[in-house]
Amino acid sequence: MGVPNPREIACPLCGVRHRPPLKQGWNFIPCKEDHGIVVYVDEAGDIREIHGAAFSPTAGGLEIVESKLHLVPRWIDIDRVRAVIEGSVRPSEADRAAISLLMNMGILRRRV
Amino acid sequence: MIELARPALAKLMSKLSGSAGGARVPAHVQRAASEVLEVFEYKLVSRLIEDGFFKDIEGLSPSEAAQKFVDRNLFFTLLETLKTLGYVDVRRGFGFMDGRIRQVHDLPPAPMATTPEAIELETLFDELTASLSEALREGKRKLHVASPENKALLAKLYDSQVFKTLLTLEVKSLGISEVPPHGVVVSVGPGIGAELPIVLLETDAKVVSVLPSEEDSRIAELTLSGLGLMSDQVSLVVGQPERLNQLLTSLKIGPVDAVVAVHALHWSSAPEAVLRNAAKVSRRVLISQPVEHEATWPLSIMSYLMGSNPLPKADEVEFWINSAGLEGRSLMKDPVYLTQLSSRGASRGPMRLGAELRPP
Repeated sequence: MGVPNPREIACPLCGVRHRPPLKQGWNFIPCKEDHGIVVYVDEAGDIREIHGAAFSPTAGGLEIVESKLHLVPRWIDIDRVRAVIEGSVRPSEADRAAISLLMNMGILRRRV
Repeated sequence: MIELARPALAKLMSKLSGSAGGARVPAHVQRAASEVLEVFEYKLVSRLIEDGFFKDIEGLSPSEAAQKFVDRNLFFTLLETLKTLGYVDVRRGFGFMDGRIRQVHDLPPAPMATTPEAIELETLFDELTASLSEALREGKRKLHVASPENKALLAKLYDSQVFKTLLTLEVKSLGISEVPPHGVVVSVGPGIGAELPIVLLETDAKVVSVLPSEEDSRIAELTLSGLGLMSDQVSLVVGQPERLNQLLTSLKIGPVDAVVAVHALHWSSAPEAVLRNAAKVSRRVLISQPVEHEATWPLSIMSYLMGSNPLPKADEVEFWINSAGLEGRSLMKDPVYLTQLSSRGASRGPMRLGAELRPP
């Protein structure tokens, strides 16, 4: 189930609070210029995971699964996504959708 | 004029162009479609050779050969496809099932993919054909779209320019644009909302998309958001099209001016129920359903490996339509069954979409 009402999420990296509309699966929420938040919502609508995602080529953040690059939909500019997760471009609304979609499709994942 | 490798493909495009009011298929898409077909054929046949498929069935009757495989649906689909493509022949029997299978054609030289479409889809085809042996011999479709990650494969297939162009022509042919802006169109597709961007561009009416799971709905929503198409015009609801009537009633959605089923029926285990329910919620049912044909075999095999049923034959679609109590005008019966239907007994004559169910 989707989550009907926005719930408050505290960013694990900076503590700033957000009330994003969350849906089942992975949700990407831009926070500050150098990081975002990824939230996993389960089938019951419960939040299961919250992680900070630093926008940096090296620090713990998000990474593209290179073996799945052929599955990236044509409307997604993967170079731009790369720039966002590496911190060189600030994410737009379209980037938020693209990053959430790629995470749900297993093409983008948390770097652990 | 581009020379298409497969006359069936040329015929498909020409028929679709005609039914869509003469809309042209751009030359680069024709070239890409032709290459995509050649590349997939090569990948499929070379994978089957590698897997020993031809050796396993040589000299056997189709019914004997089928015993060697767990997934006989897939076996017969492949056998029909290989016959159509001229790789095997079934000879000297009283009937098809008694004849003997002979390989009559070797693998042609590897085609060179030159269009971005064919180059892009090559890896996807590798992934799909790599799953063939396990599906055939063990009955396991590991790319089944029940897994969220495998939905990316289906999304990618329908995201390709070739599929998008063909789908656009199909949807145009159905006349959804005639539904007035205050009307409601219910859209049922192959899951993941693959048809939605096209349906939304074809109509100003409210579109209610019925998606089989939350994951599918999420993919559809994020795709529409990314494309800038997510708005009040579209609602995504999760439910089974086989229970459309119950679903829309519980959500208080209606009246509905048209139900459009685009590439949906082979994804359902009860296609008749989909149509019967569609007829219950709307007087107008529009169908675009690819059928088993020499131009559609790649879609049949690819979507089967991802969890659908094989594409139906045109007369099966007709049977479902009749059983659901629908009747109307068929715009085309193959390779894509395109039809505008209404419930049997509904008033005759040309029907203006959206005219009947609006309150005065």
